[in-house]
Amino acid sequence: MANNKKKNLTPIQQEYQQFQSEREVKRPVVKNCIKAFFVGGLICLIGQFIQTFFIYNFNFTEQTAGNPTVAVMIFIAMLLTGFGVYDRLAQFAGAGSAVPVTGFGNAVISAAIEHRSEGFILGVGGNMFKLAGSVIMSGVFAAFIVALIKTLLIQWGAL
Amino acid sequence: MKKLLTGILVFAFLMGCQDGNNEETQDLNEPMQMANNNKLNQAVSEQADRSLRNKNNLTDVQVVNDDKQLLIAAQIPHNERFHMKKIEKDLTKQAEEKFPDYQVTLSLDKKIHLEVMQLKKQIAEGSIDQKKLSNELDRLIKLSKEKT
Repeated sequence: MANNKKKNLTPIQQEYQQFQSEREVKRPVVKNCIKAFFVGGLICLIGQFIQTFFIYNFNFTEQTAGNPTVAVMIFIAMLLTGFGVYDRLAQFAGAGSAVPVTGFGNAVISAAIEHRSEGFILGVGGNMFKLAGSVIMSGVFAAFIVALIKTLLIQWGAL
Repeated sequence: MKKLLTGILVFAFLMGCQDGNNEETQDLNEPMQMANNNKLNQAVSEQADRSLRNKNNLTDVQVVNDDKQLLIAAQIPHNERFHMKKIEKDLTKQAEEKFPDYQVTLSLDKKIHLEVMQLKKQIAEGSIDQKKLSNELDRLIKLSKEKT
């Protein structure tokens, strides 16, 4: 805790902070990073396999194969979330399973499952994008800002 | 649950391997020999193939042409994929300077490379005529320019 915040605490609270920080279980940051790295990499590897599958068997180029690949990856993650497999994977890998696009599918379906008891419209429909909505919103907003900057740069002849 | 996950992994892995093997069976480094008595003239393609191979660091080049268009599908070493746009520009410029009479299209895409290899095979076998070749070239050029 920062020092200036510590000053506002009573001596007993400070003592407790001290006591707590000594006994707190340290987060295994490096171990978590390694796990996330490998599981995230594995998910990307599966994505690469699917992309190659689309390139070889359908009329997709390297450029255009990205879209169906993302769709398939999200769909698989949604199924795995429904079967309860993805939760275990996420428990183990943390950010490694949340950062790739599969994490998006997980966020949608887990919210839908959680609010299933409140009914289909107000429960599932209303809460499905509770978490994923922020992802979509920030994506759209970021795309808007980048497009705006690019348009301005092109107008000014910088690009 | 673990079994399901393993099943999916194995499936994806086998899919990839199967596709990879098909590609390996074809000789990648030698320009495919064209039959001399063939009606479709691919001399320009062979010339482009040789000149691009000699001047640049490419893992493979496959070229087909009809009387107006020249389609070049090249593959670059994997670590150079970061400069793909620049390499594509340079190669296109080289080819355009060498063959000003042809409408040159150059692609570094894997799919175009595969399709051009197939097309060359068909030409070598003589199972394709001039009109079909032109149509196929049009289709591939359109495919190579697709963005979404």
